[in-house]
Amino acid sequence: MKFSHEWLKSYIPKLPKKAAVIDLLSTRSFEAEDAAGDIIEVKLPPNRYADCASHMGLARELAAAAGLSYKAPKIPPIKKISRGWTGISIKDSARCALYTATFIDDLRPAKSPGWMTGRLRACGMRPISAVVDVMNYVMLETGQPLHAFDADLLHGPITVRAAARGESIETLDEKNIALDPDILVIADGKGPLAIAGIKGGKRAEVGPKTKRIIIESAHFDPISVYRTSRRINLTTDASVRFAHSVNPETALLGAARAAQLLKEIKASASVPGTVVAGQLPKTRSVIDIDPAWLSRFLGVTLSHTQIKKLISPLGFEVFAPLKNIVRIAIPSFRLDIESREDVAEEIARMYGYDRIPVSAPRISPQAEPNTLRDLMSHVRSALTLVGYSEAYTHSFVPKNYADGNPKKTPLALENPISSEYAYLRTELTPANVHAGRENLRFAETVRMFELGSVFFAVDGKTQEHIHACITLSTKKLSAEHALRELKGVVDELARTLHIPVSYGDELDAHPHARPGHIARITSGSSVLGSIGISNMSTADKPSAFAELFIAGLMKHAQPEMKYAHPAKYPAIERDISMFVPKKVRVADAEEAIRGSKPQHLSRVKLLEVYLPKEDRSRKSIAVRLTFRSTDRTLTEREVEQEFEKVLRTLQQSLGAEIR
Amino acid sequence: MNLNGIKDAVVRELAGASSREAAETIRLKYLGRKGELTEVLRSLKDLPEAERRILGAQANALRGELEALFATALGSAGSARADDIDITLPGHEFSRGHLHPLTVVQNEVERIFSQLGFSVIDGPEMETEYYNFDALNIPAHHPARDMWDTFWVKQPDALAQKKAQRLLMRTHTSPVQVRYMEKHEPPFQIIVPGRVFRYEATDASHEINFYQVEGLMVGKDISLSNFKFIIEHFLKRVFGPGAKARYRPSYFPFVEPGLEIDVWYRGAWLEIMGAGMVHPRVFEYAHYNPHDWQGFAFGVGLDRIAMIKYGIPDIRLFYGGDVRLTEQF
Repeated sequence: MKFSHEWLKSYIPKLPKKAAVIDLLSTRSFEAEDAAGDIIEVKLPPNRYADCASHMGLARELAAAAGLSYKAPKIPPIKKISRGWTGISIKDSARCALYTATFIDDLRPAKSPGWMTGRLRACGMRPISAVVDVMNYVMLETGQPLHAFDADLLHGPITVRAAARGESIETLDEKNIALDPDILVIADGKGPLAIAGIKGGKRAEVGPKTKRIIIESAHFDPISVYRTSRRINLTTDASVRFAHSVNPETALLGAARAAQLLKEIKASASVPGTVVAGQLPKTRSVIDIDPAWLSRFLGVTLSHTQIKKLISPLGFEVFAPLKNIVRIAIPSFRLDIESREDVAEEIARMYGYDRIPVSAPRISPQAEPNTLRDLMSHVRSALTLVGYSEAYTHSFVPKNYADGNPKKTPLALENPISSEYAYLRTELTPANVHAGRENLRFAETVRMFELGSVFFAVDGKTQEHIHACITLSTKKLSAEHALRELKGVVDELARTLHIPVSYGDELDAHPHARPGHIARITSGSSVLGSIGISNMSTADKPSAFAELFIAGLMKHAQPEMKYAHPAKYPAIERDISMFVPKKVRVADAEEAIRGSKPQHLSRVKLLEVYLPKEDRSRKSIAVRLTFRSTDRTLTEREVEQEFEKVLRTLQQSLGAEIR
Repeated sequence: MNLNGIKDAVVRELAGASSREAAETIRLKYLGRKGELTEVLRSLKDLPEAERRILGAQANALRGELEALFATALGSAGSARADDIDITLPGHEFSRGHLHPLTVVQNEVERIFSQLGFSVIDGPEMETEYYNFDALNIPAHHPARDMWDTFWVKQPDALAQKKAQRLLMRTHTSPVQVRYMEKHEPPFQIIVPGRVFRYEATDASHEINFYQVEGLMVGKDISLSNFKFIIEHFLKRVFGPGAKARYRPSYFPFVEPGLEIDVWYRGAWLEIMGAGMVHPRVFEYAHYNPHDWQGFAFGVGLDRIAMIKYGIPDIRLFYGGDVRLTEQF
């Protein structure tokens, strides 16, 4: 909100220069910044609009913060009358507690003086006419929004009421707004004249021919103004103030000031009368502070006298001591002060936060372990150790990144910032593969991982899970190589967590994998994730990915491990090189080998697999079998027997041709 | 050539090899794709089964032996004698992976607070309106809510839309305050690091998602003075012993008093966090008696710490997935 330094200085004669004022506000009250010319831009917190969204209000705060005296303009009280030319009534007292109408019947042509238009312009308002300028000036000065109606354009009495369904209003800026009972209006016999607290209507607009005016100065319910303003998407200087609450006592002050100024600029000569409908909401209250509590709360001990000295300049009345209790009357303009903590804040900020001593708290030694974060740290360090770098991507993705898994309903944002970020990510893979491939512009092979939350709904219920995604994108390696490297990474990660993993066929279509190039990562009967070749891959730039469920890893990780004595007896190795039909997969071969139940077989290692050029129907697989006993040295003969068994099985069940 | 002949030849030729290259040439001669032993292995399939069996086993065994011989030879051959080492030769490059700078900062923050006895707590990133706003004394239809530009999440179906709480992406880590207090009794001290979301146009200092660390300490007599101790300790650990704190009045509906903290770092005051004493109404939402308990809460931006510490000029760099950023850490 814009404030004029010169205007503020008119209330505080000894006000220091702009820079000092900004500094003072920032350390004692709220943030302020230097703006062009005479202007200070103040970032009023929502709870301080009621007392500070005006030059008088801010000057009062500033004077207290600076320890200077504040001189308010002398405003003679208005003359209350019981009836004007037209009736005033409030039909909705919940949304309008007080409505005052000031009647002026001798309007004459007048020009707003330079000092007034100057201040208006400085604060970003355009001078319009004497009457309108006075309305705006009084709002900037006192914080009370006003509105003037041309009395000769009214039809019948003024009522404050809910709009009727089907009613509409043409506003001053010539927009047509449809109304309904949720919207409070000021109306006459013909219909709405203004949207309460937000904007006046065209129909009773004050113009050059206006002779008689009625000035509205009212108190509207903040919630009602806020809701309406949001709903009709119309925010005005008035609505902003009403939405944050305006001090109800300012209603009469604002009316009086407007009448006084109109007279001062010779727009009127008479003494106007004001009709008051409704009642002032009571705001004055008393709060008791126990200095012992204050000392425990702030960590600084302050006496009754000190407290009084600190907050009296802010308008708080501190009563004489009463059984060690400090009783404080809250000024009516401080609508934000409701509890002892609020008062403590006033005391603390006037004392100075920087002066409050620093003291160590008594800490209860009960930090809990966080096993989830420990595991995530473990995953991060395991992956960086094998050469993968961490990435963070956005939680929001385009639709095609979130879609495609029949078991997960993607969640959409109500108000996306763009279609690129319209959905919550259901998996990390698409965005990570995309990022990896972007990196290929300046790298041959990119190894990345991310840990992060994913979101979706299952059976209408929302879920949030943490996943880990590992990707490899390359211009140099084959897709097969990329996949095998990632499998190796997953194997190694699983080994460090002591989780036995295996890979099974993924039967469902996977939205982000090439058809058939996808496998499930499992441990026992649990699915821990999936691994495959991304469907963003191209012939010369494949991308492989693995996406793992952190909860699954948590469940299966074995924190305790057991020492195994190194093998005592020598191993005997036997290699097999064979041709098998092309459709036989390495896992089939391994399964057949193990299925023949050779005794003492401790390991099966793939040596080589390739498709011979000369015969496309076959595949060559070479494996090495390791035989070892835990309790003795095996003889060549007994190994040979077991090996024979394996070979027979391979020939019979796979149609292998041993080479 | 018979198998023994191969072995003898290899041993003989290797003895004469003076460099790695020479040893590799010999390896290819015998074990390469068209190498002599490879040819033997390949020809096995043309032999009668009984012969193949025996010869196959021998040939495989020989291959193992030769591989071992070559491994030794390639390891040592050609490696210069001690007095030939050029000490200026560059080191071999290792390709380790790197942690993201935000992880590095988060780890550091967690370590600092863990050492002070704080627990590290988690909460959901997708929140209800209740925990993100209402329970933090930010009522509906109040302008204070406009302080947080919010991404709202569509309910998955129309039925849920009607009866359930409105869903949103948490705008701060503060909802975990109430979530934690609902399940725990004071005294305690926790931090909650995590991702938060704001509906705003992105630029060098704004992102749609970023990271915060929430802090909350509650006890019988946890004071503003205690807060200053904890936060000044934290700032000195993060920014070095020369770091100073400056406190300014501020406003957040879930604290009273509310403060903004600036840190003095490399010759300038930098805005670093919001904080305050927990608002009694927040205690009430958590079913605590506000006359029994008091404490402080704070929220600090991890991205901001990382940007200040490492001189990263644009917050968007964190979420671009560019490994050229990560590889520096």
